[in-house]
Amino acid sequence: MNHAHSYLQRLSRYYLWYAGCFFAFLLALGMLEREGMPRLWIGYLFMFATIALYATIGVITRTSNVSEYYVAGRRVPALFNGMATAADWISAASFISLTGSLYLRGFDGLAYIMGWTGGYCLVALLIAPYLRRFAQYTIPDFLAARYGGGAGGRDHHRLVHLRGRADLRGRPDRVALHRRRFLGRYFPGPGQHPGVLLPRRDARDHLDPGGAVHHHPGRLSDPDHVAVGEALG
Amino acid sequence: MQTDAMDLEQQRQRTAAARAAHWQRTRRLTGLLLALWLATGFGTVFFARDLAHLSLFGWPLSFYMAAQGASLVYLAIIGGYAWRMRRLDREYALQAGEHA
Repeated sequence: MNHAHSYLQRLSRYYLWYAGCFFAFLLALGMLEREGMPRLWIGYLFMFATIALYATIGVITRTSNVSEYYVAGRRVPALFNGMATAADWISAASFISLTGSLYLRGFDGLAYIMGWTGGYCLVALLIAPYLRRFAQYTIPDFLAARYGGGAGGRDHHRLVHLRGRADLRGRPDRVALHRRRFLGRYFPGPGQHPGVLLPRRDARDHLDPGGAVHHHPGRLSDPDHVAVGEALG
Repeated sequence: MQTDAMDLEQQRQRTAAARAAHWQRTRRLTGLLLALWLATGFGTVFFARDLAHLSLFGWPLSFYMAAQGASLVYLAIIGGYAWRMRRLDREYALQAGEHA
């Protein structure tokens, strides 16, 4: 009990530090903008600082333990998990592509806004109770417990693939609009709107809630989807 | 020995009853919230023309729901569900006499 308490405190302290530093960074950028720093440089600074921060966190929390890597040893408290889900909800990629879809499609684009949050309702109402019943922590764990070990991994793979596809559908064109503004250049891709930067695999790995590793050798060579936002946040 | 066995049997029945009651409440809650979810997402858009005369904060109801209201309702659904399920789980733990 005592141990858990101190763990929670430590975690809260890290989060507070992170949030404090982030706001300080934003404030500094705001001041720099006021002082007349070119917007393009602010954009670059923001992007590279974010990537550096992400890399630093990755290095600090690196682990060679599989369960530590995917689910942090199942020790993350519900509140913090909720915050991570909320952050996923409004990740840069979602935000950029949602605003982009409103820009392109007007009222019809609102369908994405509704579905985006509505989907979380379905996850909570239709999947969460079964996760709890089976006393599992992640969806792949649940599938493994419910349908047996081997099937779990495979079906999870498929699920994630589907979700990733659904998530990325129509995203590239919308992201491209923003990327053009932000980075000031095109990254043309084969047969696509110029919204292409990274192989699809990277984007899908990023979307994967359970963090499973995908092996699609054939897919790696066709860089047709991605979201620059994935790199941003 | 006899009383021990009876106690065990009683305990088992109590757990089974608590579990059934808990699951029934969970399902009822789920059904209710799903109906609300459907009315919010599908209802306001599908019946937009019929609801055109209603307005909220100066916007047509359906437009407001699509732009902002639906997301807020969804958030309320998730929040309400989490809050209620927490209580149901606690009640279940008490009734079943388990330490959860």
